[in-house]
Amino acid sequence: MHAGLLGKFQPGRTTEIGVEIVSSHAARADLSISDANGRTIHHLQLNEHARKKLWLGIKPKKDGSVTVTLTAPSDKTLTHSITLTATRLPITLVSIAPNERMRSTAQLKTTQESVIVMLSSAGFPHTTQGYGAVQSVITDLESLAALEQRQSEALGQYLAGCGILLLDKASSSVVERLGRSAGCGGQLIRSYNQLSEIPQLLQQLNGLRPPKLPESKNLALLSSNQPHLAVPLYLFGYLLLMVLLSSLLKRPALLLALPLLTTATGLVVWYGAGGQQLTLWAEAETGDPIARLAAIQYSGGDRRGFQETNFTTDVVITRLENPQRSTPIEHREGNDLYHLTSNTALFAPVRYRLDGIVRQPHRLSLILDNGQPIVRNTGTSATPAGRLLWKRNSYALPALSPDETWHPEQQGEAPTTPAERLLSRRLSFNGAALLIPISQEWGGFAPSATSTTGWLVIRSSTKSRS
Amino acid sequence: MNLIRLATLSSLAYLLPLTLWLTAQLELDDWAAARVTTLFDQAVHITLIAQIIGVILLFFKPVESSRQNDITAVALILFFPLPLLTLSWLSGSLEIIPIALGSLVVTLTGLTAFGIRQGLSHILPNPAGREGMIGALQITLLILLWQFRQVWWGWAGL
Repeated sequence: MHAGLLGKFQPGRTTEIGVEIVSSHAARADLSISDANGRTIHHLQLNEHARKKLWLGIKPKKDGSVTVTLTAPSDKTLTHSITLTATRLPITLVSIAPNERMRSTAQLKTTQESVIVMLSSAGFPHTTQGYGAVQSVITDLESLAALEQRQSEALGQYLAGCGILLLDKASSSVVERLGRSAGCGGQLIRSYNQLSEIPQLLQQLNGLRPPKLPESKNLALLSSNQPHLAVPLYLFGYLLLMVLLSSLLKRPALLLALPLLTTATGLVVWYGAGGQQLTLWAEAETGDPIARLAAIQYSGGDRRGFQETNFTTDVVITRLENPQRSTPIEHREGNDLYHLTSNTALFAPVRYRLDGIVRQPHRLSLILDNGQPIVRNTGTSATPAGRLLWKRNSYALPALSPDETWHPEQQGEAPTTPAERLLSRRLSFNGAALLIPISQEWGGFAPSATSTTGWLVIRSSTKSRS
Repeated sequence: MNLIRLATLSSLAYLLPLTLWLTAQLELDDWAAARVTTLFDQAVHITLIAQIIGVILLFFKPVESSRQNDITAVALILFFPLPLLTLSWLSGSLEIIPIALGSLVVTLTGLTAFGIRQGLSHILPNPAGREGMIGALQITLLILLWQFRQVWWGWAGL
């Protein structure tokens, strides 16, 4: 077992570990990871005398420790612990030709804003979580070409999430090709010719990075909080009936039936599998077919009972409850399927934060023309109505038919809804963005039984802003 | 006023303000789940204390009552807050066994208070002295249960 990125991690961020298992006979086994995110169980199929190498996303505890336990039927339980080294600064991953390494380290140290991790291409992360603390990647085409498929996919997800990539002496066509599948219009992928260019390039690209997605606390404010009138109605209705019956009944012993009947009613109403709710916030740049997504999944809360949710998309799942008291997240091998189960109580949903990337082209473009926002429907069907946030004001954006353009003519209003206020806080004064409500089907992200409340934010393109 | 009516009124006397307080406190936003649990936990403790006061006071003054009425009155005090206790269990504040053990303490207290009244009415023929003694013993029982509430709460797992 060994840790990725030379065992360095940033507290609160994900990273990865590699686990190698050799089994003397074919068996099913459970690999349990205990880290800051509680317990995650990976269900595995082990083959006879076969070596199995797994790369698993983890979130080390504050002291950097992670415990991995392998349990196979009729076998002993194997437990290993690993301790990673915490670093306060984000990580710059460097993988370039060996003769350039010494010089690059000297150059990069002048930036003082990140920790340099020098790796060969084999050391590149294999999972999306492996890039949790990586701020920038500096590499060359040889290293990129040597990446395994899983590493390339993880790097692709990192780039889709607006990660910085500096390529040594790459042609503009290569940069452009990589940029097509990257987030932020591919503007965070650049080529350099001299190592001395790197610090300035990094500084420039850091300035172009979009802000981090909202914190869970801010996302939670977007959830529709329906007043739970049922509880006061239930309790006061019961008391009222009790008063009425006590004055009406000739045989007071019958009064004993009412508390029992009310209790039974309460159990019928509030016991059993509850609902699922997803609050979703996605951000994309104009023209970008990729959106960065943060969501809060609520399981239960409207009933006491057993809850179950499946996620088929590759997302980073973080528990928002006390991880030590929660049931494990189950991960089934092969198809990136997360299985979340929990026993929830009334009024106390189990919450998970989900972070990921959604590739879903949007039809609206927002361009700042001499500082004035212009919205255009570039798709082939009508777009839903939404809001434009610009200069701390909110404007009602009408539904637009294909090729129709719109710009704000009337006076804007102060942002009123929680989503408008959140977006307004995330924009610079001159910045503009569209806020479009999204439906359950958007991005194929939400499990089918989940009621979704969500918004897609389309920012004016970085090019236009700069 | 018979014992059953007295039991109904005494239950209403604490459950109505308690329900008012609880529903007013229930800010049921999603970040207050832990607070909801605490509120229901407090409500259960208040309920058990109120039930104990109720069963002791029920047998404080002699009221014309049959054995069946006595049992019904105690059962009514025990059953009256059941919907609130059910909500408390549904909210994950308490499990069934602590609630059941808490109710057992209330029942035993009721039986003790009833026993004190019955026993002394046979031992002490003088009504004035008997009532004084019953009152003193039941107030002592009340004080003891209040003073040692942490002990029996701990025993019941509350």
